[in-house]
Amino acid sequence: MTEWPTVELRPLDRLRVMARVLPGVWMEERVIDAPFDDVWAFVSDLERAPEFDTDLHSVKVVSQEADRLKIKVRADVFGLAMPPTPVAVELREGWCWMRSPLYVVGMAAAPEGDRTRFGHLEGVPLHGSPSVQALQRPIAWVSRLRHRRHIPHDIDGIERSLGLRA
Amino acid sequence: MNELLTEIAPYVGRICGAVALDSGDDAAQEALVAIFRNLPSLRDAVALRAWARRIAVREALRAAGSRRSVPVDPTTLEAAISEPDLSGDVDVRTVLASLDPVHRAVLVLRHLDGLDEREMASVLDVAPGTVKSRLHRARTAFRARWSA
Repeated sequence: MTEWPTVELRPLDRLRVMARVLPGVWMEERVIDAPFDDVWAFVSDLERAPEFDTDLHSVKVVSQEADRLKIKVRADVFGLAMPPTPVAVELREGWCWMRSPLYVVGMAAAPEGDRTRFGHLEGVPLHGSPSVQALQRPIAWVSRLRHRRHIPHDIDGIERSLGLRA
Repeated sequence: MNELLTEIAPYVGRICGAVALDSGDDAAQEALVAIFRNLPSLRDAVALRAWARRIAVREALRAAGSRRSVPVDPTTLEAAISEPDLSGDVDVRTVLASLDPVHRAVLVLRHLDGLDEREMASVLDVAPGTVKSRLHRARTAFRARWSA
């Protein structure tokens, strides 16, 4: 059987593509000083997300079929739990994509020696015709600005939960 | 958009992998970004695939470091040569690596995508005669290296 060379889009590359094409999102990458299995076991346990993301009050898995999950997320706003929001999730090893109508979160990871390269993306998933995107530009700008500050805190939280920082 | 990426990425990966070889990862990423940035103007699946093909070939050639055109050689136009047998158990990558990227591009479009010369000319932005010439050269080179 003849095998033509091909390229498989790896999870981190996939996340980088999404970060470049969605104008309202921000992505950060960091090498976490822990093995991939440990990092992925923690971040893919979605109900534990409030342990590292202070914007979250709770996450509950409603259903799971293969790599598709439905979860309900309650945000935390000034200490108050907001009403649950349904979120569709695609989850497999090294890749997690969570989407609600107004928000998107992506995580991707790959081993880097004994450590783990971790990518985290969040924001408002704006897209549409160029004229619509022009109108959305201020929202995209605010979203990127906010998540540029927020995402490093999330990754700090992951490292804290893994016992890598105080 | 995530679903669309799942659908189109393997196709782009096949073109970029076979044309750009070691630079295929970069080419595929750049191609996907370019494809998705222009999504609002694409209304149907056929148009999307054609657009994806055009962008993927362009980015793959760019990543492979070759955008030069191969001039038409009238002496080769007579040769409506037979299709090389690509079904053997051989290392296609090694053979492809010995070819010019523009030759890899026509082979990929012909043998992986099944395009005719007119369609290939449209994708590559060259005259049909140029495609014919490139295809002839590519097949000749492919066959020579294959049997070497």
